[in-house]
Amino acid sequence: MVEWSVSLVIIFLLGGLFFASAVYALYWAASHKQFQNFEKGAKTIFTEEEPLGVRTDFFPGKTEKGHIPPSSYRNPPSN
Amino acid sequence: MSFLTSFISSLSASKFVADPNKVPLSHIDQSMRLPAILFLASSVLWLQAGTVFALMASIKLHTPEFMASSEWLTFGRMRVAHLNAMAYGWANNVIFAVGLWVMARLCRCSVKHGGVILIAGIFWNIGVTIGIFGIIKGDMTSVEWLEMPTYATPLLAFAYALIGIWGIICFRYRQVEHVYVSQWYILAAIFWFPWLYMVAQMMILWFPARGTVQAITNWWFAHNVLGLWFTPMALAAIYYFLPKVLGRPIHSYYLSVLGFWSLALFYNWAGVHHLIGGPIPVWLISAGIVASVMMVIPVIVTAINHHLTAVGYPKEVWQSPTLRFIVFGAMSYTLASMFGSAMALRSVNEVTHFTHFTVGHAHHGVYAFFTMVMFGSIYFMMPRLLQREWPSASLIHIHFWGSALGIGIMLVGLHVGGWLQGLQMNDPSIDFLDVVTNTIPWLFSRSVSGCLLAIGHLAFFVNFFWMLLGGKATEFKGPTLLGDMPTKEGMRA
Repeated sequence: MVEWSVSLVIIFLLGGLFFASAVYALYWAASHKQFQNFEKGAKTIFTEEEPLGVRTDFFPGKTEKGHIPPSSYRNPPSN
Repeated sequence: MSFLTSFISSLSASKFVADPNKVPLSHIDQSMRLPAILFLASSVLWLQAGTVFALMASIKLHTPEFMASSEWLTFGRMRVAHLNAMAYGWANNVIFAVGLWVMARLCRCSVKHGGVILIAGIFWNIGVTIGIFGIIKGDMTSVEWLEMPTYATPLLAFAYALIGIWGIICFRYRQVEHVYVSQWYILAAIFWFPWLYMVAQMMILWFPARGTVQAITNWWFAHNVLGLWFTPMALAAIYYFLPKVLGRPIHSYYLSVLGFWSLALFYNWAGVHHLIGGPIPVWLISAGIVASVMMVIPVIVTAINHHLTAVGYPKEVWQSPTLRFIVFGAMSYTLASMFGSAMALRSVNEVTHFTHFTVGHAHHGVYAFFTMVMFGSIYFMMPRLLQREWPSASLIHIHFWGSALGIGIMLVGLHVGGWLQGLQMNDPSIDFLDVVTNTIPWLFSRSVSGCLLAIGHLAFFVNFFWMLLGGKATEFKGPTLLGDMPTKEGMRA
């Protein structure tokens, strides 16, 4: 059994480190310009294969007319 | 601190490719195929096992004589087996699959040394199997959410270390400078979970702290598993799949980043509200209550963002299996979190504490939010991993309605029944046995909801393994998730 007071100190140290790591990550993000140009950041998930403006999920057998799958999916890599 | 500084600095990618599109998503998907399938197949199997345990535990609550002749099948063991099968079997396996896959896609990082993740996946599932078997055998610990016997945990820790390190390496070698909000959530959760797990294991089981410090650590861990492991992974999935499927960016990227940082800074304290009224310092409980109420900020921020992204597109959401589940999950996140903040208030907690209301709240978060989001994620992932379509739309419909109606009935039953139970428990004129008897109809409704959930899970199981093992029979049956794929010749052109 570890004494109550020792445990509490350990908890506070770990909690403090936990909080400090979050604060430092926030500082890192700010200093690496992660909080600039939000509009551009929001679009980083879109690619040539799954582009902006194209829906990418439907029930089997139902899809939007004229929606063409990306070429890389039509010709998947062999490996 | 200098170690922390140098470590976080090392996470900065050293160089970025000029055109991230040069790393096609289809190549990344193919490189993730085996590890992702291993985790997904394992998670679906654990989901079925957890459902069976859940049904048995639920029926025993209103019909105690049900399968009561074996000590291996008593309520105490079945409930714990259910919790651990769902938390460590279903939830963690699906998190590893979805989290690593989304991370790899956002980093534009093809998987190298995928064998490491495969080994980790095998070890993880052996560890969970040993742990569940130990629980049913009677070796469980008395610590909620950490009931697995200590002989199972080293395997889990080893497997997780491999998985976590792989996630960090993927982030380190990312090909895109901008860190998307989903990456923030996943990366943070990759750090948070081992921290929580190791601290709790050490301070409760390996070198136990004295007295109530164990309880504080226990609820710090148990609540943070939900808030700093399941929640960030599910939110990462929502922020990825919701705009991706709709083909439009998230309504306010600024709000999504604000939501992440407020979760990161506030959530850690919230778990102590489980000990309201307990023999621990009052100021600690008060701090937990304040943090719980502060959680309203990230929740409202996230809710507004999700809502404004999907509003105006009901048809699009309804036509997508992924978004049906994910939007259901996102709405549940808002409701469950607001309920959670309210339950942390002393006046409300006086009623809900020690009642089925809390059980309902747990299922609200873990099932209606987390699990539904993960179902939606799997519906998006599988066609891209296997290069084929889901074999049956009907089974997806059965899965959705079984899950949605099932969890809906459960939430109403447990919340209403639990609230009435709490009011009656606080009324000294009502005998305790009467209070217990009065819960039976509500517990029965839970078993009914469990049957609906089981039907949904079975439909999902059949569809999943039909797709996985059906081979050519299911191939090109579409056209669905990836658009028009009219002929085999077209596919091969």
